[in-house]
Amino acid sequence: MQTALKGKPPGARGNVWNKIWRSRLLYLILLPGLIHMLLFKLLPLFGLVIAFEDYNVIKGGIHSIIDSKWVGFAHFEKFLNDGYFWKLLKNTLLLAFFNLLFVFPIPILFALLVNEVRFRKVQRFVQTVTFFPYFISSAVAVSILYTFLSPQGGLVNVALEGLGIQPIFFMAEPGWFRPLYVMLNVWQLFGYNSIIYLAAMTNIDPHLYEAADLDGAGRVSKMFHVTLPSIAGTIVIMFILAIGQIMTVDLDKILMMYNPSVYDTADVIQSYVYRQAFATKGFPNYSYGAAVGLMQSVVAFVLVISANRASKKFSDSQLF
Amino acid sequence: MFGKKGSLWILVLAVLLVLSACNKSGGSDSEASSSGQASSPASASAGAGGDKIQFSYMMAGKYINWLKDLKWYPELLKRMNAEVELVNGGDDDSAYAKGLDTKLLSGDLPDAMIVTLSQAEVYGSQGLFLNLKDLIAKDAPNIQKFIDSDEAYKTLITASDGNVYGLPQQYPIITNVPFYRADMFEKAGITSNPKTIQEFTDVLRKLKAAYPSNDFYPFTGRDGYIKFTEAFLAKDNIDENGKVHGIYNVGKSYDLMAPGFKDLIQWYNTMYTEKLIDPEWVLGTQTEESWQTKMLTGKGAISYDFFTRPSWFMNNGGPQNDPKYDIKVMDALNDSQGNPSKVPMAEQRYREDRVFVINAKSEKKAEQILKFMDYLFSDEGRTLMDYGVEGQSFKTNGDKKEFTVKFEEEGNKPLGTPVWNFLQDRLTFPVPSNDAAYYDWMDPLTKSFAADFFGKYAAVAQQIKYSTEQLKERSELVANVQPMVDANLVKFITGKRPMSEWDAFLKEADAQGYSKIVEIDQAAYDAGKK
Repeated sequence: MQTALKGKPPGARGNVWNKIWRSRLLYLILLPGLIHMLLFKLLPLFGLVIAFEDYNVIKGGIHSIIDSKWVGFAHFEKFLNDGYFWKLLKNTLLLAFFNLLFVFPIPILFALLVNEVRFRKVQRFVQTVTFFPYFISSAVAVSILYTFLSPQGGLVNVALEGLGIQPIFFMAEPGWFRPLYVMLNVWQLFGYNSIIYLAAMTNIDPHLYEAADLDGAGRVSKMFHVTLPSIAGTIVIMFILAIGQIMTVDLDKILMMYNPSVYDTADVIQSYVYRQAFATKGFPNYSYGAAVGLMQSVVAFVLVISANRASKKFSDSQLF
Repeated sequence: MFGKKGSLWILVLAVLLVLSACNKSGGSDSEASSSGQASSPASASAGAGGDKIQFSYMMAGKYINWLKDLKWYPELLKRMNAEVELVNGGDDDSAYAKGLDTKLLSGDLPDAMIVTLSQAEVYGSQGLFLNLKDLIAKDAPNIQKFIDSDEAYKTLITASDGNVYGLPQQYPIITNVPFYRADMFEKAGITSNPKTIQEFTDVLRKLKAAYPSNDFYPFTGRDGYIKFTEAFLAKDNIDENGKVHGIYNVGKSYDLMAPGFKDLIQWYNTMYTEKLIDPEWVLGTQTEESWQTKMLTGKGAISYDFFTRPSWFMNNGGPQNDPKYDIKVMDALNDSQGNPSKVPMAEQRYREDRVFVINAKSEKKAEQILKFMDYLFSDEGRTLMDYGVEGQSFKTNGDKKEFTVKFEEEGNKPLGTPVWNFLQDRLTFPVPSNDAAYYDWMDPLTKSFAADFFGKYAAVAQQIKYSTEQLKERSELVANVQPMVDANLVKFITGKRPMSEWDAFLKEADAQGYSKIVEIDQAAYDAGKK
């Protein structure tokens, strides 16, 4: 009766079941995916509880989690009170910020330019070529970087010497670490990331361009007044997702690029946790690593929610 | 949209996809198990009462690959009537170490495996590995004899509860050696080898003068660039009064607080300023390949590296590139008090990362496994592992065993080729080493200096055992302190930070936790002495 008063007609539940039953095959198709998500995505979240324990690997299986000693927020406090914390946080945020500043907009600019290429074959060729670096592993990419930038025979330094400039030890200068890391990421990702925007551009109504033509708009004008606004929703969604990665850096690349000369700028939260987890002596500190990881995830979650709300307030686009 | 039949097919395919994903994630272990030697029904018939010794043994894949090529291995299995299922626990040491805890967590472990000494003790005391003490006393007289003969070994393997959970490998007494391009020395007019740091510096200057090219740096290397700590009396060490100096690493690191260490950094600064040392090496951007290229192409003339490296350069392109190419090993430099240096071993005498343990669940096979291991500790077993089979790989001349096969012919055969090889520094089964046999097995160049150099200069350092709590605290502190120290040393050497700030730097290191680490080392050492 109460349900009916709230506006749901009697038998609403029955209707839902009827609808499900009518589409039972589609729901059955959905079922494996749901089971997979439950087993491999949601249930493992239970493991996060080790961030609040002194995880003891030896008890085996689920008992390792259930029977380990509960320490509450001890690991979080330890990390926050670590004298090294602020330096790590600064390095992590700066690296992620510069990464976002360049890795995010460059694919949009690139997609806008590629979209203007009239010859389809040229367009596809450019897309394919710029797509390739995505498939190069971090190890190979960093090796290429080392070779190009070597102070002894590296192409860049040979060119600099040709111009009468002293060779620069790029890989050993703390000031060069962030630009190199960002440049490498841009090179590897801009072709791949631009695909999403190019796909969004294919859905733009051609009539908009025809109308712009009639209004006398040139190519640049159409690019900024038709194409860009039409993909604004996609850009906002991608930006919200990118905000969620603000605390995340590419640990593989950093581990391969860092050395004692660049610790000042290259040592980030993840590399610090990695050093602790895989110390040459002792045992992996899973609980500490989980606590730091959880903190990063919570910050990322808050940032994504905030960005989504801001987007909802100032534009029509939102992620959820 | 798809019709009933179409939808059913899609459903079936989706279910199969999920099942295959589940199967894939759960199947990796069995795949790893079978990647060793031909799989055996080890668990089916093995037992104290059976004739055939059967057990599974997990270690890093690269050692399995080497072991499978060794000609003495099938002979060992034949003699012992044994069948060992070799289980690949990760391709190399790093992958093995990273995956080991996860494997221990899974509970699905082979009968025997390689772990670290800390893991052996901590997990052994919690019931994961067998206590071998009584079993050895009862069934393994040769192992017992070795334990009784070596107090350091006995102390190391005895856990705080008095039990013995693992047997570490005894590593041969070998060190890094300083070596040089003899042909470049000759061209630079250097007629005698340096004996002191000052003479060494003069040699570097003469080389730089003879080869003034911008990309020639006389002293080059790979990995850690801090060398000659022994000559500056600045090694990490435990002195005769039992005091620990520096973050202890069996002499392979340094004592930051030693006056000699400041002198060493000052010396490095001089070398860096005068372009006598490879800047890429100091700054940490040198790769293995770039170092090799430099030593092969004359962009470097002196290195201080693993003792087999001189012959590696001679056999891997040196004389092919330049017929005059010649590498020789120099003596260790005298220390600052004029005494011959004591050079730290390349690794710990007892490898704490190569400890043989037996799974507690395989208790029934323990007697068999120990019998197998005991044979390797016996004279006959040692002869087989160190010299091979008489008449095939060695002959006896009086009391002396002489190899009839040559390292330079056997040692460089491609992986997958059966070979006679006796590189005791590699992991097979952790057993005692026979240093004389090991040196004797080397190529002529290495053999020419090994016994003499190691006999004169090698220093076998004491090993410290830590409690779990000490290890935990130490690891966290080292993760904090080491990057800070490393970064600052580079700054002092490159001149970015003046040496006048050295004392301030030492205080910063202390504030970061340097002294606390040394205190932990001291406490652990003192506890071990009690």
